[in-house]
Amino acid sequence: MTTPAVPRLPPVLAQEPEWDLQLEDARTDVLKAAARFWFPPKPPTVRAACQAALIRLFSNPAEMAPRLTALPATERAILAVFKRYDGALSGTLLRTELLARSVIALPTTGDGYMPYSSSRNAHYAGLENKFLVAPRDGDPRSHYSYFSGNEYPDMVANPAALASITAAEPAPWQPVSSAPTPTAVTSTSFSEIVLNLWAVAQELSRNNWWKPTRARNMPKSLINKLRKVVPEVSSGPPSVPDLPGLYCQLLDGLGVLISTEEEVRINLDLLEKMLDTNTEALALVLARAWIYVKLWQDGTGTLDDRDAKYRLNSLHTMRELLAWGLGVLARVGDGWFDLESFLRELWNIHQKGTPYFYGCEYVWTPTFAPTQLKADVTGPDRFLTLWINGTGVWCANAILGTLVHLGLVERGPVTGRGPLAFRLTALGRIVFGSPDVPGLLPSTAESRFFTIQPNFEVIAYIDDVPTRVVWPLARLARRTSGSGNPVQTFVIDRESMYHAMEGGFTLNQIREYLTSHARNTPSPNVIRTLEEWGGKRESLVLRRGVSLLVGIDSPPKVARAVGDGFHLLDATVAVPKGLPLLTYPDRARPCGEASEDGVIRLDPDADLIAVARLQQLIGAADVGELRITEASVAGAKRRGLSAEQLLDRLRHHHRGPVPLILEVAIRNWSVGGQVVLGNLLMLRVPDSAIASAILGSERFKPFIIRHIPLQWFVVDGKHRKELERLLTSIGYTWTAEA
Amino acid sequence: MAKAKPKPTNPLDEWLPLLRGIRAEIHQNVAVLEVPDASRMIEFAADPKIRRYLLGRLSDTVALVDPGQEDALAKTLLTLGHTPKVANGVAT
Repeated sequence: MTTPAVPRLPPVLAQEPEWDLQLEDARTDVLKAAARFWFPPKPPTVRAACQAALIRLFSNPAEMAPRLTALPATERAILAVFKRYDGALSGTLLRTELLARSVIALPTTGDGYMPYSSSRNAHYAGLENKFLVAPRDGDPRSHYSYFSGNEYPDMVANPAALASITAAEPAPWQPVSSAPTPTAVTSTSFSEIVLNLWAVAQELSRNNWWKPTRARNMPKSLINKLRKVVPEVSSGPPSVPDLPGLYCQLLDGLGVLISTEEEVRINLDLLEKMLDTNTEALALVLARAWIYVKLWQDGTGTLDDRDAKYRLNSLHTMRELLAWGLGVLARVGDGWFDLESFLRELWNIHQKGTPYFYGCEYVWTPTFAPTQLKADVTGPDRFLTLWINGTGVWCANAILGTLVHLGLVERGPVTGRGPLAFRLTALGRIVFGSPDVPGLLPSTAESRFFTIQPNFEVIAYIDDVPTRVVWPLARLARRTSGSGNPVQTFVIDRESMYHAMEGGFTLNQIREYLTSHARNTPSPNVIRTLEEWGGKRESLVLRRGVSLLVGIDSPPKVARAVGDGFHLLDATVAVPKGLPLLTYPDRARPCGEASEDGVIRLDPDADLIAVARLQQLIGAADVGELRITEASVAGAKRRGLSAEQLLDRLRHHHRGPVPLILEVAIRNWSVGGQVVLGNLLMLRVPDSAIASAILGSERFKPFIIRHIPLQWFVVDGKHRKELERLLTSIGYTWTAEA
Repeated sequence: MAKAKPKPTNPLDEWLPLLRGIRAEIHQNVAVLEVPDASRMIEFAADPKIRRYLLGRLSDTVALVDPGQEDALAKTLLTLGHTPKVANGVAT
């Protein structure tokens, strides 16, 4: 009898291995040098022959094995690290592994600065020249000489070589002193994270799509809506400053947000597939999403595009380093660790080469010792002090804030001067400790985790329940409790049932789910009402994206008759050929013309939808003269159509511009319009010179309303007598007619 | 002489005219709203918040939605407490 293998997750920091040999671009001297290594004692000496021989060799891993033993020990050790990470890893991770294994060492310097080193001297260069490893496409560090050889590009290994290499054991790095077990512990159930993720996703889905701001962020109105579905946790600092932002960034990292320049949408189906997996695998995917999240800084919140551009690489590198360090802790055991010791040891691996963030503000700033930079502290210690009070604060927010919120870490009390104790949760140990830690949580036989009240309230105990069991509850019920509580309350209502069914949850599946996971038997009135809601939904159907066949005598057999001369056809079924075909959304489709007085002349071949749209302006008349009238516009208004909607339809189907006076009439008939029509008092003077004199006169100024060049003035009728006196005073007489 | 009985009229004619398909043509990617009975259609046709999105009726239980207004109609129906089943690309 064989013991079943313990399941293991892939390393959280493994990357997608995309190997591209690229022999065509290789320099001839490099090809010849590689050939000398691989094909002793008679290597090919011509470029093309070298290329052909290498291609043949790499397609047959067994032939490579004997020569791999001839590699220097350092290069074999590097390949073993690649094997450990399934063939691809970031430059930071590779360098960290090599430093932690003492395969390479930091240069000894008195001042702590890292001396420049050419990438040609990097320890992986020999492997690169033998076509055993290569920088990943698009990594600038592989192409530009100004990058130091201390900064490795992200790399991928030749899969043929890895076939006969044994994966490296975990790095022998013993990082930190342990901390005493704290008296109070703050932790989050991973199930709650999944509920939050789903709640945010659902809210985004209800918005269909949104236009990102200029800084590529979400509009504020939408963020405010999300704040209602993911309320802030009130457990005190270090809290996550912008929970909706974190969840949106995680969704983006999971690849379920589809972005273009113009809009962003969510692919809810894809997220459903992701959530419908086991807890351990989901947590691993989510941790990866966090490590490589685009616009998020732990302890600060969502970044805008500009900030992210210059900080993104450092953030990713630091998260990789943290994840690597946490991986070491995961293998050590489930004890408590002191945060500051951990960070100091982590810094010590790369020392001055560890990323440093400038000028950031955090929701929580722990006090690390020593807090003040002393003038007499020099060398690496000075850099460590600067780092721990800058980037170290970010690390503290990431571990004790974000990762605690994500259910991967738990923390002790946060006191003024520490110690700040933390440890990985059982799930966190699996995620960060993979593949060395078995990737399976202790199984919980109990899958009945909620009680349904007769008033449709659901009280759920979500701790230790697999996420794929908890998550469907959020599909069919609306959460009414806040975050941070292992006991969550929900309510099932008509709307939540509707959304569940729209998302593909059938009535039978809902009934089955409730029966399988409820601790009590749902009361008959609950079941009856759910069935009623479900049935009501079935009775009202909005069919979208179908084909409408009009006036076709012999429609396809699969077409469904829906009225006299009308048939509907599935979107996937080919429509009959040889008939006028109109596809929506349609561009402007002129098929008529209106005169200023509203008479419409429709083309004889105007289609059904164009006519139906225009008939909304002209009422139900379909014989004789078609005319837009006050009554027809008032009728359309009663049917809910505004003047602008009517005009849009008219413009859509009107040949050329709609007569402006007709537009004015339609607006007036819909919302009313008013002008002034009265008697005006006019003053006409003999010539333009006199008109100029009057215009410049202070005495005339109070009487003149408007000058109509050259000789006419509109004057104020209320002061006619005064004007008459003024005209007399300067020697004018007047007549009433021009 | 006996008075001729007035022809019964369909109350829907006033609210949501019956469309007539005279010329053979095909409209792709359109939306229709299906209700269980005519009284429900009268209810919708008499409500300007819903009626504005309907072009006319294909029968007493099927209305043609103004192309491009499907999302707005679905949102309005939900706001008004209706729970329409949304069937994408499916005619039956």
